Amino acid sequence: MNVFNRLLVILLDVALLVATVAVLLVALGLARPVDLAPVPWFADRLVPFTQIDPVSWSWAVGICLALVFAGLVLLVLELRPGPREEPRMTLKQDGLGVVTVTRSGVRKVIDRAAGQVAGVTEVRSRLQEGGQGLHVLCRVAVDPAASIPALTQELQERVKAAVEHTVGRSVAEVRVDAQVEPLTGARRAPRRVQ
Amino acid sequence: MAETPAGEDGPPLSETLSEIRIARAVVGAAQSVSGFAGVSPGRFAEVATYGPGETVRGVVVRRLSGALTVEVHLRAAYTPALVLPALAGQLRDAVRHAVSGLGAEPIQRIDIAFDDLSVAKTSDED
Repeated sequence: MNVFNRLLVILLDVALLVATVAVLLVALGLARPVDLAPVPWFADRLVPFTQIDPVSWSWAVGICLALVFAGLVLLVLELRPGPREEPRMTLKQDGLGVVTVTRSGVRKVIDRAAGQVAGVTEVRSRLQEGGQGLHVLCRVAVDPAASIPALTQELQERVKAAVEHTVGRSVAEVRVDAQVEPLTGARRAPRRVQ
Repeated sequence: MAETPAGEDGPPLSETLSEIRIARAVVGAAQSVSGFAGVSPGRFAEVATYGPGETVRGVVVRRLSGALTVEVHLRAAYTPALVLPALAGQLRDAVRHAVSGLGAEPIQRIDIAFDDLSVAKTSDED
């Protein structure tokens, strides 16, 4: 929903809440129409609720309570902050414009490069930008029969080469956090190679 | 705003070109570039150009002080040979060519946003 639509919904919702609360207060006898209404037109609309029969009164109060509840829920939903923008990396910025890529896009490159190393069964990566270049952290699940030092060295080389080639930014560091257990839901006993 | 088709001799028609028409041309130009996997509607807020009864997603065309700015959000098709800055350059060239072919005013800047990479899963990746 764009900003205009959202503002419109909030304004209408606030108007509904004000009117409903006014009707409720008048129906419950907690306020007089003239006390609540800034204009005579609105006071005239509230007056009938001061003299309704018990059955209609029950209906009016019930509907008002339901509307107040629905209006408050809608207001809270509309005032919630939206999703946060996904972090991006700037690949190029010049007079022609800006070229950016999402970090999740770069992580796909990392995960694919790491996943192609023999013995790697699962990959999860993180990425940070530093002054010296990109810092990559790869958590990998590995085959128990694999040689961890050889595997991690190949993984570091592949990830660095793939990211630098595809993204065009230098990679300062590739950390590898290897474990035999699957990554999902397992406490790990990492063997880290830097 | 009324639209007039661009003449073959290419008279400047910038004042008659709507943003939606330019956005359509931008998408068409991007589709012709190898490595383009599709426009992205935006991951945070909708990225689109709106016209009467039509929306072109993934492209924002703006007019700022007599010049155009174009923002393209896309998915790139990942291959080991993919180089994103080079792909961005090809996209810019294609977009600039397509928009100037319409007879629109000059493009001041073209922002390229790679929102995602489409990685094909193959059984014989290596």
